[in-house]
Amino acid sequence: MAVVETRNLTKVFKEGELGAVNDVNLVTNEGEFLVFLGPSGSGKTTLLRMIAGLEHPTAGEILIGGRVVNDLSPRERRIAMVFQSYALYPHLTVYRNIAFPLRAQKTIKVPASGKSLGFFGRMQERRRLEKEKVQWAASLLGIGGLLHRKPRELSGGERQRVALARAIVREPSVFLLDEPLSNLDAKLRASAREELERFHRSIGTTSIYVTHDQVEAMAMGDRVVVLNQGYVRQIGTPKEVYDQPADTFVATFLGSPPMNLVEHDELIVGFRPEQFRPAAQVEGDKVSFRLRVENVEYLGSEWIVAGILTGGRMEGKKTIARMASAQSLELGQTYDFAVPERELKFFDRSSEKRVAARALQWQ
Amino acid sequence: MKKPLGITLLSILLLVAAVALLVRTLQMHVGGFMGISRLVVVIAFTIMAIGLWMLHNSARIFLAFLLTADILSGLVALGVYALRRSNYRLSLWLIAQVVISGVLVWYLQRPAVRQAFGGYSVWPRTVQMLVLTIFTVLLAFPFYWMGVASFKQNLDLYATENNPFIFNLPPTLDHLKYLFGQTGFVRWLENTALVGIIVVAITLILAVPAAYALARLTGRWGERLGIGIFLTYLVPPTLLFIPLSRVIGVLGLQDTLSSLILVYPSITVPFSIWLLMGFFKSIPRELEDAAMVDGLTRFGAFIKMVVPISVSGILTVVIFTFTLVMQEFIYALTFISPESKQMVGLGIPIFLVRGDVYYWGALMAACLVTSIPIAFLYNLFLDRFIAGFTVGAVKG
Repeated sequence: MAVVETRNLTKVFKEGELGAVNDVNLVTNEGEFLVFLGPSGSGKTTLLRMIAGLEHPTAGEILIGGRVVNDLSPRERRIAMVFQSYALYPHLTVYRNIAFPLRAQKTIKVPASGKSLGFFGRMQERRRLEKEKVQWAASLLGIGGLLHRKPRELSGGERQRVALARAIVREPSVFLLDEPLSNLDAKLRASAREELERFHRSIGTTSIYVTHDQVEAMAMGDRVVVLNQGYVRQIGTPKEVYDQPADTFVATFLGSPPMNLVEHDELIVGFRPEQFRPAAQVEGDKVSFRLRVENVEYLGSEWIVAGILTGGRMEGKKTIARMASAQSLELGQTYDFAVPERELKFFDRSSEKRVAARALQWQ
Repeated sequence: MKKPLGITLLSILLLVAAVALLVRTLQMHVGGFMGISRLVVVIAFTIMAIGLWMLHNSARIFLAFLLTADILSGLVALGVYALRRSNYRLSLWLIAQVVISGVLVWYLQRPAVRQAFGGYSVWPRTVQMLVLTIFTVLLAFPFYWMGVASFKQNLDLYATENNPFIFNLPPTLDHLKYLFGQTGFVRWLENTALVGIIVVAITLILAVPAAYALARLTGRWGERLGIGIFLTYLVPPTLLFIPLSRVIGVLGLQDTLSSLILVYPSITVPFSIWLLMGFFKSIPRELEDAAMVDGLTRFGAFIKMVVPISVSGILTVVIFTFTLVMQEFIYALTFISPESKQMVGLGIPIFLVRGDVYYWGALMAACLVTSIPIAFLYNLFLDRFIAGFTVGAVKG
C-alpha cells in the first residue's frame, strides 16, 4: 500500500491564473526517499504543503495510507514536517521542543495496569514515558546534551538535528522535509546531507524531500520528481532523470554545466558536456564538430571548456565540454571535437519531449 | 613606569584637601545632610588621591570627569547668573575656577601622563560619564522635587529665601495625612485601578484576536484595514468628546465610571491592534505551520505559540492602556462631576487646587504616590517594553 498518493492534484491560488500545481499524480513506495526537484516557483513546496495539509487543494485527491485525507487537518494526518527555517519554538527549550508533538497530540497514554495510580501518579508516569521518548529521539541524533538549551543558543547543524528529533519523536508514517539544508553554509551542508541520509537509512520511514539543489536530489533521492511551473516533468531514479531526460527542461535543469542542445531540422539534439571530447579520444560511431575555444576554466579535478561550433550546419552554436585535461587547448584556436553517437538525446522541437534515437545527416 | 611629578603633586593636593575638609567639618560641627555629603566628598577625594598615586586609570578618568563637570557648570553659572547679575567678584572666581580646571584636564591628557596611565585618552569615558550624569540628573529631578516638596513644611515651602532643593526645616508627614485623610484620593486611586483593569481586559480581548486576524488571515485587505483602524486613533479626543458626551447622555451613563470604561477602548483598541499587528507579522508563519503539523489546531497554535512569543507586545499594550487610563483628562473631565467618582488624574488638579490656592505639598505627594507603581512597572519590564515599541522598526 502506498504511503502517500496524489491523484490529479491541482492548486490554483488566483482564479484565472496559471496553477501553482497542475494535475500531479504521484505514488510513493514504502520506505523510499522521494525528492521533489525544481527551480523556485515550480510548485514543489506548494505540493508538499498540500500533502501536509497546510494548503487546501483546488482539485484532486491526496491519500495517506490509502485514505483520502483532503479534509483532514494537518494534525490528523500523522505526518511530520521539517521546515526550511526549522521552525523551532523559540520560547521553549530543546527538550520541550522535542516533547511538543507528544504533548500537543496527547500521544502518550499510560497503559492500564492493575493498580490505580491516582491523578498525580498518572501524570508522573506520563512525564516519565515522555522523557524516555524524548531521550530516545535525542540520542538518535546525538543531541542528548543540548536538551536544556534554547534554540537561539544552537548552531545551524544542531538546530537541524533538533528539528529532526522533533519530527521522529512520535514515529510518523511519513516525513516531509522542505529544503532543510538551504539555511546552512556550504561546508556544513555536505555533512548535514550525509547525516540526513544516514538518518533515513536507520529509521526507514517514507520521506518526501523538497529541494532546488540538483546535487542534493541526485545524492539523496531514491527517486526524483522533476517539477516545472506546476507540472511534473519526469519521475525516475537519479540515473534515469540524468541519463534519460524526458524533455529539454529536465535535460538542462540537471547536470552542471547543463546538457548542450543543438537544433537540427525538426529535432533538438542534446549531449552532456562530459561526452563532448576531442575527436581523437572518441571511439566507435561518432558525430564530429569543429569547436573554436572561447574560454577555459580550471576547476581542479576537471576543466570546463566553452566554445562555439564552426562550419557545417551548426555554425555559431555555443557548447560546453567537460574534460579531465584541457591544458593543450588554446583560446581562439579551432579543434576537432566529437560525441559518441549512442550518447545523443533527441527531442521534438515543438513539444520539447524526448523522441527515439535516429540517424541524422550532420554535414 | 616613572610617575610624573604633576601626578604626585596632584594626589598630595587631593589628600590635603580631603583632610582639611574633614577637619573643618568636625570643627564646625556640621551635621545632618550637609555633614554626610561633606563626608562623601572627603572619602571620594581620598580614594582618588590613592588611585592617582598608584597610577590607576579610573582615578584619572574620574578626576577628568569631575573637572569637566566643574568647567561646564562654571560656564553655565557664569553665563546664566554671575554676568547677568553683574556680580563681578563671583564672575572672577568662576573664571579662575574654569581656567584651573581646564589646565588640569589639559595636564591629565598630556602624552607623558597618558603614557604613565597605560596610554588611554580620558575623553571617551569622560564624555560617556558626563552624558550619563546629565541625563540622570535631568530625568531624576522631577522625582526628587516631588519627594522633597511632599515632605516639606509649608513654612519651608513658601519662604523664598530658603534653598529650595533641600529641607531647611525638619520634614513632615502633614501633606500625606491631609491627602489620605481629608480628600478622596484613595477613592480616586480605586476608581482608576478599577477602570484601568477593566479597560485593559477589554482591550486585550478585542485587540489580540483582531490584530492576529488582520496580520495573518485576510491578506492584502488586512493591511489596509489595519491602517484604517489606526487612522481612527489619530482623531483627537478634543474633537470627539462633544459627540461622545451626547452618546453618553443618551445611554444614561453620565457621572458613572462605566462611561469611561465604554469610551477608553475607542482609543486603546486601535493603537493596540496596530502595535500587535507588527508583532504578529514578525513571527514566522512556519512556526504556526509547524505547530499545526505537530498537533495543534490553528486556534491552539495561536494560544500556545503566537501569544507566548509576543508576550512583550502584549505587555506593552497592557502598560500603554493602563497609563492612558491614568492620565486621560478630557473624557474624565466632561463625563464625570462628583468627587467620589473621579479618576486620579482629575481629582488631584480639581480638588487640590482651590481657586488660586495650590496645595503644593499634597499635590506633589499625590503625584509621587501615583507615579511610583507606574515607574516600578516600567522598570520591571523595561527590556520587553523597548522590544515592544521597536519591533518591526529594526529587523533582528
